[in-house]
Formats: sequence, structure tokens, C-alpha cells
Amino acid sequence: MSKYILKRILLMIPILVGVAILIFTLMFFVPGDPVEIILGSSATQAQVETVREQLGLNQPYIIRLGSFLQQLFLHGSFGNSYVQGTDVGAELLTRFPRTLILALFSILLSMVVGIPLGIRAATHANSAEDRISMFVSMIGVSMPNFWLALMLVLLFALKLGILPSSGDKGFEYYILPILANALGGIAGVARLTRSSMLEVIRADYVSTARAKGVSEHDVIYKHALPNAMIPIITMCGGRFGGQLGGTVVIETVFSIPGIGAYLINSINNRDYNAVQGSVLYIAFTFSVVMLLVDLIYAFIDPRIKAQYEGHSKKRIKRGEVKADA
Amino acid sequence: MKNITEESKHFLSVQDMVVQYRSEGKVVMAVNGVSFDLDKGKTIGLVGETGAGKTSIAKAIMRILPDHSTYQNSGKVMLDQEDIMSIPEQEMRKLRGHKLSMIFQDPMTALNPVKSVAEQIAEAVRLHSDSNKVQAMKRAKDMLELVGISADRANEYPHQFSGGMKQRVVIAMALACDPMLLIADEPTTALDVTIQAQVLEMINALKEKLNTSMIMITHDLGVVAETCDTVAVIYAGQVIEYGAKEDIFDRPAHPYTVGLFKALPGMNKSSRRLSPIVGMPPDPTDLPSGCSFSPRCPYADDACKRDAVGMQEITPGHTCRCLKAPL
Ligand SMILES: Nc1ncnc2c1ncn2[C@@H]1O[C@H](COP(=O)(O)OP(=O)(O)OP(=O)(O)O)[C@@H](O)[C@H]1O
Ligand SMILES: [Mg+2]
Repeated sequence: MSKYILKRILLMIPILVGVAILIFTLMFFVPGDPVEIILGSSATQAQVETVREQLGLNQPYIIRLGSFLQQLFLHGSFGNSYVQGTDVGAELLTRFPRTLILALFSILLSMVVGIPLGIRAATHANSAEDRISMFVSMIGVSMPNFWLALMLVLLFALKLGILPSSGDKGFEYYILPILANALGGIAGVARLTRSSMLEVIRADYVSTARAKGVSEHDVIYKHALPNAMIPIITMCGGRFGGQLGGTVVIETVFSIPGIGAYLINSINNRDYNAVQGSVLYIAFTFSVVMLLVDLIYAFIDPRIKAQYEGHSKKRIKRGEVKADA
Repeated sequence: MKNITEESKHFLSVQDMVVQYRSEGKVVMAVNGVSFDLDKGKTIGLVGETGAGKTSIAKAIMRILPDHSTYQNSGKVMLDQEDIMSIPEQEMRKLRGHKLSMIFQDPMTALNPVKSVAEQIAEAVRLHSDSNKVQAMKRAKDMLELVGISADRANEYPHQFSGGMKQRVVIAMALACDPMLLIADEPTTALDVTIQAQVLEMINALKEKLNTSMIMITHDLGVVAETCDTVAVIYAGQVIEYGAKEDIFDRPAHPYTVGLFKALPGMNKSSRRLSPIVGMPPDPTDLPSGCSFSPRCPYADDACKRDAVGMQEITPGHTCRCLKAPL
């Protein structure tokens, strides 16, 4: 297993190099000039030229790419933002905890609420309760989150006045954003859990568990649920990885200075270093989350674990496999 | 609630069992009033074609019919003087896996893929005894050894075992708590012939040791010959012939049973599967009126197709659901 993890971590290096080259090239060809944006439209041609020279923007593509990669992989630096002049890496680091809180708690809330709801719907399939909750979750899935965010602000911040409507000065500032972010997730997770569970609770091994005298609660949570988890993990992993890259709409509505807002601003300003840094950060966090997801698969399902181990250990005898695992 | 009637002298007595499913808006009449008795330490064979309702009978006795598709389930099951159809689910749960247990038809799907085999056996042990985790694991390993699987492999998962080994695990699981009634739903159909013989021998030995009663579900008459004391032939959810093994094998009375034996290519050949009786088994969503075998029966006349046919005694203890019997 550790061999597999190591292999996956090593595999991230070519992925990140590839992403670095790709995003650099894309930004190179994207129309728009950061210098004009920095200096404004009133700047003279000469001023523009000096700044371009300073930033090294006059050099040919291949030289610029080379120095970008050198700076990135030898010094571990994304460079400075053209607009704020601050280090992009440091800026990402200060913004990261905010985005992490938002993403992590949203996904936890989606799972903690969505999974039991889905299970309930599945075990009461086709009852009125099931139909109503699936109808409500259908609405939940299709509701745009900016609209939901505004409704939550209206209710909790303006009408009831119990929660702040924007900012990030404490955990209470995150409650509404997390809710707005999680409701769609809850609905999605509940629907997926329901369909996945419906398939699993018809399986023979679930009857076997019942025939052993296992209580209904344990039949569902200990025998059926682990077998229904793979698609749920896939979905939640994808959502979590995506949200670690920033939730632009939520961050904007609630004025939370997270990664998403940073990336969008940087793109609008053609702030090359900031865009490249953010995209690499997103690629990195997404790779890490996907690795975690794959490890959770292996933890849940021994067949998947065997697959991972199978590739590298075909030649090793059984005793050694056990000692290693 | 002990209720000593004529029938309840038997260890197990199933009376008027009915199981109906709901499927795509139709009612599937899977089991239509099945009754049979079984004594302590004896084995009854439930024989019948695919779809005859054998597994449904077994699941109904265990009370594990699927909630979502079961439309109706009624009847009476007296086990050891206790009416297990009417006790609360909580009580029933204590009996399941303990007093009565079941070997499932398909070993490939009967084991939970995410739990080690020993864990799955130990779970039953822990539920029905006051043993702790270590003791239960020990018992699980002993059971595995008993069915011929090395205890070294106890912590492996179902996908690491062959079909025949999975079947053994399923058997070990069903026997782990010394059940008084064992329902074996085609325990050997998934196995090749040599393993089949081994597994049957093993079940018989275990049964003798524990004096367990057994319901052997099969469509293999060879298995019936080797393991059963009495036989109930099931057709379209009904017992159509019932009696001692010798009665059924030597003096079959129902045209369907007679057909079964005719369909055999000779008792000492290896292929003993049933089938070639002309026609198809009836559609359980639309059973024919009268005798449900009448559309396929060479002897049927108008009387057969008119009214439901009752069981009649051929010789003491040998009954048959046919107006023409004995042929
Ligand atoms: N969950 C279900 N929902 C709807 N119909 C079902 C369900 N389970 C079984 N049936 C139907 O009930 C009838 C009896 O099925 P059952 O599984 O009891 O047959 P069986 O005698 O065990 O057959 P086999 O020898 O193939 O195992 C069949 O027509 C089957 O299609
Ligand atoms: Mg069956």
C-alpha cells in the first residue's frame, strides 16, 4: 500500500509540470496586457515600455517559460503579483484557511445530513416520506447557490439579525456561507445515497446478514452502507476538491477573501503570476484530494485495495504481502 | 403461548404459507398455500423447477422476505411449539442464525464483499452467545477448519476465495451457532460434481452430530436421494406431492413427479438435472384456473381445469394434488 501511495505522489510531479507549462502557455496567448491594466489607459507608450521591460514581458515565449519554470521548481516561488506586488504564494497561504473552512465544513455537513436522509428515503422507498424528501431534494439540487445565499442573508442577517451577512472575522461569519454552499450538496448526497442504497439493500449479502439475526440498524449501517459508499465518496471527493479551488459565487456574495475571488480578480487583471500560482495550487490540492479519495476507496473496499497492491506485488509471496500490509 | 395441537407434535410445521410479491404493478403469486411437517433430526427435500417458489418459502420461514417487494405473506410456522410467524421481530431476530439458519442459494453474492470471512462468521457467534470478540473469532476459525478451509485464511475477503470455498464459508456461517433447523437453499448447485459430493457429505455429518433438522431445497433428484427422509414436490407455489422419499421415488403419483423421473437420463449418469417436461411452468402473475399443472399435463381433462384440486391421500403419509392419481 505504501508503495502505491509513493507512486501516486511521484506521479503528481509530471502532472504539475504539465499544468505549469499549459497554464503559462494559455496566459501567454490570452489577449490583454497586464501593464495597461496596472498603469491605466492614460499612461504613455514610453511608460508602458519601461514597465514591460521591468517585468520581463518583452522576452520571447521560451525564455519567459524557462525562467517561470526555474523560479517555480528551483525556488518554489510563484513570483509576485503584478497588481499588489506581494508574493503570490504567501497570498494563497493566507487565503487557503478560509477556503478550506468553507469547503471542509460544507462537505462534512453535506455528508452528515445527506447520507442519513438518503438512507431513510431508501429504507422507506416509495412511501410518502420518501417521495416528499426526494421532491424537496430535487429542488435543492436545482436551486442556484447565489440565490440560496441571498435568501439566507435576507432571512438570517436582515430579518432575524442573528448572523452576520458578510466578512470573515470569526466562525459565525462562515455559518451562512457554509449553509448556502452545503444545501445543494446535502440534496445531491441524499439522492445519490438513496439510489446507491436501493441497489445494495436488495443484495443477497444483506439477506444473509438478516438471516444471521443482525439488527435492522446494523444491517443498514454496517452491512449495506459500506457497500453503497463508493459513489458517494466519489461525488463528495469531487465536490471537495472543486471547492478547495475556491467557491467564487459564495466568496463574492459573502465577501470572503478566499482563493476563488483571488483567481477571478487575477484573471481579470491579467496578473500572470497570480493566475499561474492559483491554477497550480488548484491542480495540487485537487491531486491530493483525489489521492485521498482513492485511499478511502481502498480502506472501504478490500477488492480495490487488492487492485492497488496487485500491480506492484504480483511476484511477492503471500507471507511477505501480509507482513507489509 | 404453547399450543399442543395435532400438528405441533412435529418439530417444524408449516401451514398454509402464502407469499405474494408486487412487481411492475402485477401481483406475483409465488407461494400459494404450502404446508409440510418436519421432525427432529430429519431432512425434507423441497424439489421443483426454477421459479416454483422454493426460495420464497425459505425466506418466509426465516421472515426475511424483502420489504420493498413483498405484497402479502401469511401462514403459520410452528417451530419447536412456538408460532414464529406471530412473535415480534425482536424475538425473531434472536432465533435467526441461532435456532434456525439458512444457507443461501448463490455463494458468489451471499457474502459481504467488504468484510473478512471470519468477521462474518464471528458476527453471528457474538450475536447469539455471550462470547467476546476473541472467543468469537476463535469459533469462526474453528468453523472454517471444520468446513475444510485453513484458519490462516480467516482474515481474507470473499473475493480471495473460489466459488466452492465461498459456499463452504456460507455453510460455516449457517452452522456456527448450532442451529436446530437448517434451511439449505441449493447448497450445491454452484459447485462442480466432486465438490458437490464433499459438501453434501459435510452437511450430513454436521447435521448428524448436532441432530439438526434440515430443509434441503434443490432441483437435483440425486441430492434428494442422498440427503432426504421426506420430499415435497413444489409446482407453481404449491406442494403437489408429499411423502417419504421411498414413496416419491418408487411410487410417484402426480403426473409432474412422474415426468421428473422420466426426464432423468438414467439414475447413474452424472447429469441429474430436471427439465424436459413439455411446456413451460405457468406465469405466477396469471395462474391457470383449476390444477396449475393441467396445461402441461397429458392426462388433464375438463374437470382438472375447472376447480382447484385438493391434496388426497394415496397411501398413509403419501399425498398428492391430482384428480387422476394414482396413475
Ligand atoms: N423480490 C421479488 N419480487 C418479485 N417477484 C419475485 C421476487 N422474488 C421472487 N419472485 C418471483 O417469485 C417466484 C418464485 O421465486 P423463488 O425465488 O422462490 O423461486 P425458486 O423456486 O427459488 O427458483 P430457483 O430454483 O430458480 O431458485 C418467481 O416467479 C420469481 O420471479
Ligand atoms: Mg431459489
